[in-house]
Amino acid sequence: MEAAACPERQAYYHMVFFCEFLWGWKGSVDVSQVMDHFLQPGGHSGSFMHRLDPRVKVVAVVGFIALSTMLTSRTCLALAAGFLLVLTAAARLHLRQLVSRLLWLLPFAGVMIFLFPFIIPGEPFWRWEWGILTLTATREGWQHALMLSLRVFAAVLAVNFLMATTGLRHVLEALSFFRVPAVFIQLIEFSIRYIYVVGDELRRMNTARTARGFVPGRHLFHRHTFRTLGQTIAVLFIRSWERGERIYHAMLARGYSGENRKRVLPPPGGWDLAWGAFILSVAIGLRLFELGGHIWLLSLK
Amino acid sequence: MHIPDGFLDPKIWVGASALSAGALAAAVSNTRKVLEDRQVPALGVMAAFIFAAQMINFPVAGGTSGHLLGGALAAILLGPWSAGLILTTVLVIQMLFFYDGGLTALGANVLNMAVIAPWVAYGTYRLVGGLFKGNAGRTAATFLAAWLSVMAAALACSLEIAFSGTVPLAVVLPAMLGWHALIGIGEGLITVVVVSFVSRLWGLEQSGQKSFAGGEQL
Repeated sequence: MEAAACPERQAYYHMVFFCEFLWGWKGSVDVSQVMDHFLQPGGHSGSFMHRLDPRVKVVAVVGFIALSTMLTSRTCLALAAGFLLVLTAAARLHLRQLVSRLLWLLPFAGVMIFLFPFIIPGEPFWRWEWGILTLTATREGWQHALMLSLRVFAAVLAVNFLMATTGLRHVLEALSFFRVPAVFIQLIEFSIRYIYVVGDELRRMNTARTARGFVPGRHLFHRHTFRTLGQTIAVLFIRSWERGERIYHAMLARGYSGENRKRVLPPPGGWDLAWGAFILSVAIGLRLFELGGHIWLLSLK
Repeated sequence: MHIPDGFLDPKIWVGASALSAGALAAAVSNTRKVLEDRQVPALGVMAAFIFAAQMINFPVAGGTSGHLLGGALAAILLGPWSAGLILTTVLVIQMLFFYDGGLTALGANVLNMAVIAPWVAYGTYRLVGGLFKGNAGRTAATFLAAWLSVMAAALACSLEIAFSGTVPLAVVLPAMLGWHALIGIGEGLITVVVVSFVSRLWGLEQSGQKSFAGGEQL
């Protein structure tokens, strides 16, 4: 009965309610399909955005995201997102691909954003009573949610722009140019290679488990479910471990020395730098505009 | 648990990134033995394993489900330093390919899930495992380690979001901790099954043959 009177408890109920939606979504995903989707640069690889120096693109995108997450006005955030949409169009990325990638946002950030109208105190503008649960959405919460979703949207567009026009290999080359330790670069490369292998292994195990008539229980106290899932993960661990050892020995036998051949990248051209500066200056301009720069911009006229 | 872009204040994400960078530098120097031993491919396979294990959902209650974080599992089986490297790799891949967690929030996410979670798990495991000997002791230590690692990561995540002024602390803390107290039970149960299964199997083999990934003797 006191649940309705207690906003924290309410937020908790929303949280629980939406986690089902969240993980149900994530669980139905075929990993390797998604990875395929991302490992190939999208769109027509002929666009000039694809040919920009990856280092410039990495710096520009990181800077743009960092600046745009500081924006608070919805107008400026919408402009930032709009600018990225223009860039995406200029890179001629397929719209359908972009939409399907944006759907990924829903489970991760969408849930939290959806909760905001109900948990930020303020002027209520919508109520819904259902048994002992009362949902109250506030105007402030709604505006807050809109601002955050615009921020997330802009950031995702930026990451998508970077990944879709650059491809993983060039991004990693750019990172190693920026003195990211070679260990991490290699780790990321090897992991991606084996996510396919381990993912396939897991899919086969899931199929076998289902074929043997396994139906997961509905709660935490279903011992059989946890024993079965735990054993699945344990066997997957052992198999991955042994595969790792085999791979290690095979690579040693082929003369792997732990060295990573680093390509020496030519310095970025003026055209690349100009584009990078342009992207960054849009973000800086929006930030200044928000800080009240528009007042002295007008006074220049 | 993955914080998206725009939820954190610049001073929070810059600070968290600095902490994470320090922790990772320490991890790289402490796993030097492995890296010199050219075992990076094996660590990569382990990262792929954690990635896949996070895809498995377990039921929680009332039709909801959660999934493994894997911080405790990696820390107990491979040691906390390697676990940090492995989980960081997983987080970077999730960020770049799945937009799971933001680019600016990467430092904070690494801090919560690749530094705090494995170390809390490892510390608890060693402490409780030292107090109670035998099989039951190890089971209790494993369960507690996994549960506490999830709670610690959720706590850190709540504090980061609250101090950024995104959500009031009074709202985010009970919601996050309440939900993750349940998720943590699932994480604990699964980690117990996996650790006992793997250690039984490894116990059957001669321990001298095992070269631990991470080069850390457990």
